[in-house]
Amino acid sequence: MTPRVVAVWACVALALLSSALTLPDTWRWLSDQRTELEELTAADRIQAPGFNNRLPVGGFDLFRASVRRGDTVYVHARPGTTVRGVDFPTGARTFARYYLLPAIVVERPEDATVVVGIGRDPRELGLRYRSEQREEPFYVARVRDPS
Amino acid sequence: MIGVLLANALFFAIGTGLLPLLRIAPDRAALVERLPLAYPVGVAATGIVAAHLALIDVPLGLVELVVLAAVVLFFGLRCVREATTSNSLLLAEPRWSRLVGGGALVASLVLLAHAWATYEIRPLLEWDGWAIWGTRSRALYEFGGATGPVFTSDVYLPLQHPLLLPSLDAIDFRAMGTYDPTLVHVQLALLAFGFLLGFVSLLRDRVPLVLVGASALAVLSAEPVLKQLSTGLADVPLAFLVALGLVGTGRWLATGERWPLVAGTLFLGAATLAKSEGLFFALAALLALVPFAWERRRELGLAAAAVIAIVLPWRLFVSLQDLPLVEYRFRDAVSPGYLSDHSDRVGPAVRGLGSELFSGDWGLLVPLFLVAVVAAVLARHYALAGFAVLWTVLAFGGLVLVYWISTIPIDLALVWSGDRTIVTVVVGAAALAPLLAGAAWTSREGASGTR
Repeated sequence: MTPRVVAVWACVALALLSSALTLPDTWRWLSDQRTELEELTAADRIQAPGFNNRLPVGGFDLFRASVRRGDTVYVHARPGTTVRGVDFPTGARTFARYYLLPAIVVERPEDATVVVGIGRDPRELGLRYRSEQREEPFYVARVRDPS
Repeated sequence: MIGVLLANALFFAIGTGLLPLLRIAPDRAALVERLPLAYPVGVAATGIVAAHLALIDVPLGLVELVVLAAVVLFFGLRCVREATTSNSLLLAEPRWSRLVGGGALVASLVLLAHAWATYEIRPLLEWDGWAIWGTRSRALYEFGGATGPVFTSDVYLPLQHPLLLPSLDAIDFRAMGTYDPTLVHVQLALLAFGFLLGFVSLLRDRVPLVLVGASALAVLSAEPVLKQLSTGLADVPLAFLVALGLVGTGRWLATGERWPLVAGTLFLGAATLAKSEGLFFALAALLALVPFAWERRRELGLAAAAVIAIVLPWRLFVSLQDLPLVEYRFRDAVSPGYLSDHSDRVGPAVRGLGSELFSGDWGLLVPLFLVAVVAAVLARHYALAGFAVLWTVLAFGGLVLVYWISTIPIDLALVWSGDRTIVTVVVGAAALAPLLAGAAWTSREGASGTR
């Protein structure tokens, strides 16, 4: 048997052995994920990104029901941290970017058609609001309709 | 679910038309034999077109896909009828090889079916999965294009990620008629299935089935592959595209056939639009070919031009919109002063990425690649072995360079992304293993295997 043939056989053996080493763990991980996730309802699955990062999804559902396409949203959030170590206002703003689509998140309150508050009252910003809604500690204040 | 399946059936139809149009399958026999390649070709081509159309706010939905598939199929099948090239399978292979290889492929399919069952109920959980990729996919679906604030405003940083994967997701949402962040994970399982189809099609008549099947199973069963794929991030799809690109261009290097170069170039082009690093991995592949295919530099030049043409609209968009690259600046990579000032990052980057490369999670993929290189050298396939080694060195070195010039503290950068960025290096190298070992096998069996 030449070294070349040995090398080819070694490749076949390594590939099969590699599969034998990793396949059971991968299979088990997929099975565990399925068992864990099949209990979720359709609504849970929508909210999962927020829950998984300990973000207040209930408040975001309120926000989502109050904004519409064309809205620009300013997120006025309390200080603190999230599960990922980023500060809470950044985490809340990042989640709002995803969860409130097709509304668009803006950086400055004066660019917003809607201000949403988490643990902070939009009145602190000194803007004039057409309507206000509060379900402590969440606030929705509309500045104007989207153009 | 039907919407996703319908969209993917149309990807397959588009790929079927493209096989003869791109001369990947110039005649009827080749078309039948390489038909499985139609699906990944269709996904890559449609992804490229959709990502480009998104830059000018033109959404690709089911109606447009049907029209596109009809046109491409019409011209493609007309083209195939006129061709007259003959096909013959030359590779000699014992029965046990076909049995073991076939068994490994069946096991790969069963594993992917198991992944599908999990993916179809798995929501977006990981931060970057929803914060970056989910947001971009949904925004493309909601707005039809990428000129709005989600893709151009600093509020939505990072903005540098290209649009191939979000564009494919957006097609699925349009086909489903709704935004479903859970069901869209099925598309990821289908991408893995496409990788398997492409991998087998590119190698089947050149490499014994036992090497193809065992290598495919080894790659797909490695824990990081299906685990990371489920997150909705683009790292594993990028790895699949780069791997298919490497196998295609590697086969061209070994045999001189043009069709795998065309297919490989398409996959490398698609990789440039899957993630920013895709451009770098694709260029590494083309650069690694230069010393070993110098006498065929014209073909190689055309392939490089095609890859650049594919990525150019996105790069122009980035430039015209002045999209910031927040984590690093490319010009720092060629600044001796900057590199010198930050040279203390090199050691940790090499050690960190090296430990990811040799992580037990990958099974024996790295030893498999190394032994396959030895096999190719022993069989005197120096060019193929040289290409595989040079690409791996360039790819790994390039990753080190990215961490070198990154503005994020090195420890944090490695923790955040080291296990993800290494995926393309490992999967790409492992995908080359059967081609390398197959070259030695072919010498052993005394058959050329070329067409």
